Amino acid sequence: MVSRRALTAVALAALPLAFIGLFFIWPVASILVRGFAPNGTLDLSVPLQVLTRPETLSVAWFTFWQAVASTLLTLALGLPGAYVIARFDFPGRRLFNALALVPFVLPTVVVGAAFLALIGPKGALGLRLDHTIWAILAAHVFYNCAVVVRLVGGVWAQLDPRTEEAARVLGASRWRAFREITWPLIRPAVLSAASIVFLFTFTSFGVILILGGYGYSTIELAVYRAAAVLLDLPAAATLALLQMTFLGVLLVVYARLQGHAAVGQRLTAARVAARPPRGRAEWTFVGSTMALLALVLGLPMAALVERALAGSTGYGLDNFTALFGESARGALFVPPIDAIRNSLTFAAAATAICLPLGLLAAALIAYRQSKLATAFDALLMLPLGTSAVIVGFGFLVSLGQLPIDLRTSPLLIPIAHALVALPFVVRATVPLLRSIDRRLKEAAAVLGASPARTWRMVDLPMVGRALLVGGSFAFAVSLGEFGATLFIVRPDAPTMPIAIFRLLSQPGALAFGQAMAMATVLMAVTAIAALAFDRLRTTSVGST
Amino acid sequence: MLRLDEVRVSFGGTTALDGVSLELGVGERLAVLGPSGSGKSTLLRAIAGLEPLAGGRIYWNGSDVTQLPVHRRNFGLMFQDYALFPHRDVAGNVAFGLETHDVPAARRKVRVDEVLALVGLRGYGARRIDQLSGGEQQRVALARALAPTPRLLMLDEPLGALDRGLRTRLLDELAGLFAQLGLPIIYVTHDQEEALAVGERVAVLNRGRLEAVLPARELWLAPPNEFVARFLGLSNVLALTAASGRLATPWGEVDLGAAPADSTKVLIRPEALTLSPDGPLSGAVTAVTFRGESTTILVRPTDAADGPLLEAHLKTAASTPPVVGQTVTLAVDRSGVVFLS
Repeated sequence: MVSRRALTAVALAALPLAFIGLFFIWPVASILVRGFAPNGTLDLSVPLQVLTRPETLSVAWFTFWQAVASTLLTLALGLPGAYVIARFDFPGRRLFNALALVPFVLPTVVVGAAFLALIGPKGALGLRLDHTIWAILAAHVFYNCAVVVRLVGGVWAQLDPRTEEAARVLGASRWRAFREITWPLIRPAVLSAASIVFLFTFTSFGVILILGGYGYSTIELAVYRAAAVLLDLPAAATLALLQMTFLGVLLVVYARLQGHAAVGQRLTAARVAARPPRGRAEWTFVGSTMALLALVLGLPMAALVERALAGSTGYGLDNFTALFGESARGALFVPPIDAIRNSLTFAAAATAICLPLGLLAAALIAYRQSKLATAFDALLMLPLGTSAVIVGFGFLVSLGQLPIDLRTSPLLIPIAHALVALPFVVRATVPLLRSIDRRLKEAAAVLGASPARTWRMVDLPMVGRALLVGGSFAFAVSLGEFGATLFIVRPDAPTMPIAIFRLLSQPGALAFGQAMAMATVLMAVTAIAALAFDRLRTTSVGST
Repeated sequence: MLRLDEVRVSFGGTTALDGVSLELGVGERLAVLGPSGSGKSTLLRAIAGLEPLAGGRIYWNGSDVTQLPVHRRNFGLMFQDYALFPHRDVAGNVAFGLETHDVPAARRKVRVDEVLALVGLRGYGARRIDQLSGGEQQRVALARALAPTPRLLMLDEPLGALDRGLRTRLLDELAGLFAQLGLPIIYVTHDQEEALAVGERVAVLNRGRLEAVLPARELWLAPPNEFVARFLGLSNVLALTAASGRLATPWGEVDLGAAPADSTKVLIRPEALTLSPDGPLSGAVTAVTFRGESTTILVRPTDAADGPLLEAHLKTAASTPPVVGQTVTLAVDRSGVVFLS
């Protein structure tokens, strides 16, 4: 017999499932069908031919090694940072911890624009490094450093420093105590961080499109070029499948590594783990690590603002006022200011779509600990592991076949953005919902409240914070979304990232200035959203 | 064996240890007693080499070990809350100090079994740390510290995290084990009962300074100053007004005999007060607590409603205790009067 609880669960799951099915599974399936059975029967000749092309091999190899190099470099800079943040208390520590988050939330287009502002043809340093691998690696380190600092630093801070001291007293040298005690305990966090950085750099799109030029291409970029520039859909589908296979393998490897690393560790809540540095050596180490991080993370952002303020006649707001005028060389068909309005409208709509779906899903995952809930959770994470470009491409391929052609609907972009934001919203709100004290709900039930009423009276007020956190996440993701939007955007209704990208591809000082100004606006908006979100999250349920 | 000479430790602006000098004899057990924040843990960490000294030196058998790195000192330290390695099982924890001293695997195993048996955990080697109770974790921490045969064993509040019943039992066990080991031991605690049970001598620490270092019995019978007396739970400390020995107290005037010239305070031990119809002190009883062998009563001066309280421990066999509100008169046994400097 099917219980009422199970029926409720199915009802709760139906909407998010339908959304994922219609706007993710089906489009991705359509890509595969297009690629492998263009005439209704399985035909692998084109995919095989695409896979054996030398360009495909070199793109795959480049994608792989640049992701490995980016990950290693990010770890090299991030791990000392994580250690310093976790173990030392020094002036500006909290501020640094908050600001380190900003690059991570910046839209990739803004990251690209910031590096062009620093080392591009009109860059602040007067040194040209764009269209080199160094620009790409530097941008990837800039973008992902916060993942390592935050994730590893968070776990490291919870490790009782006395565990390592106990090893020292028992005769272990500093290095041995780290290798045998600390490292095994932080290894799962390092692996997690490395996997996330690898995932992001492997599917890197905006950064490489803007900084790499035609000399460099990841698989993600190759999918875009094949589908949108060369109009070679079978090739695009093959490359998309190649990408998904790579990511699938990565997920399996990651799960196995994590399985091995899980050691039933019980982290003691750090009472006063962080202490002021003592002695010249410690101050030098803390100071130089922080200075290096501040330089790597701060310089590109500072250059972006500097370039945005620099006009032909000295510093001023000319570039910002120019956003209200015509776009340079007709790059956008509309005044740039319209892009800001479009982005805000789309983001509001995407949030309105994503938030109810995300909260339904999060409630289901948070309250039911079953195999089905875990599978549901994994399904919702799929869009994150697949890449935005494939989502956009899939929309293009599949949505024309619906009874109503969504491809011309104004809802198309908000739907895509909601899909990309959904995993983030679910991940951010599940811990908040889990933190609600079960006894409160039981008390309400004992006092005669029905489950629906309990939810309204007890959960909903506390869910307010989850709504705020999830909403700001969805809004910020939508504002910055680039890969999927590039496929489906209408030329006369650009979003901010699209406008920045198009302006950056135009020659001339006006276009560059407008791009810098708009990127600065977008940076400010996302940074504020992220910092507000960070405060909300950390003041609620400790560190989750 | 161990000698501390004017040891100072400071954290930023605050001084945690302010010129501590101390000697520990061969096989001696020293208890360090003090309230929280008095610098007890810092003292152990400084001896272990975990805190750099701001001043002073530490000697072992006459040689200066102040600059010797932590891992070369071969001092055992058992941390408060134990700091066990969560990713190693019990045997892995205990074996760690043997591994760092390059003990071959076969001898390591023998020693691990030996030490686990010593602390009463025979056969626990393969257990995970999070499967152990608090008392078992405490024993693993002790076994881990003992395994590499340290030349000095230091324990930081080893019973602090345990509940009262377990504490009393383990305290007896520990005292027995220490006598059996013959190792020099420094035992840090905030609990006077533990300090007196474990330490042959007891050092009392207050705000980073040593208030007293005395044999346990002597410390208990004749605390040298007011801080030590009060920390031992002896609260009847009165200011001396005249050197003559006659003392005017809120409870009446009493003759305590001649006071030494340098003393300014006097302690009347609670067990030195007895009910006596013609005693010199009198007041109203505000509390009566039966404790088995004795009954504790608190007495306030008759004419002061919220005056100070005099504590007396009345032997159960000697008299029927008064009731709350009753007026009593008390006599003072001079053997229980201690002049404080």
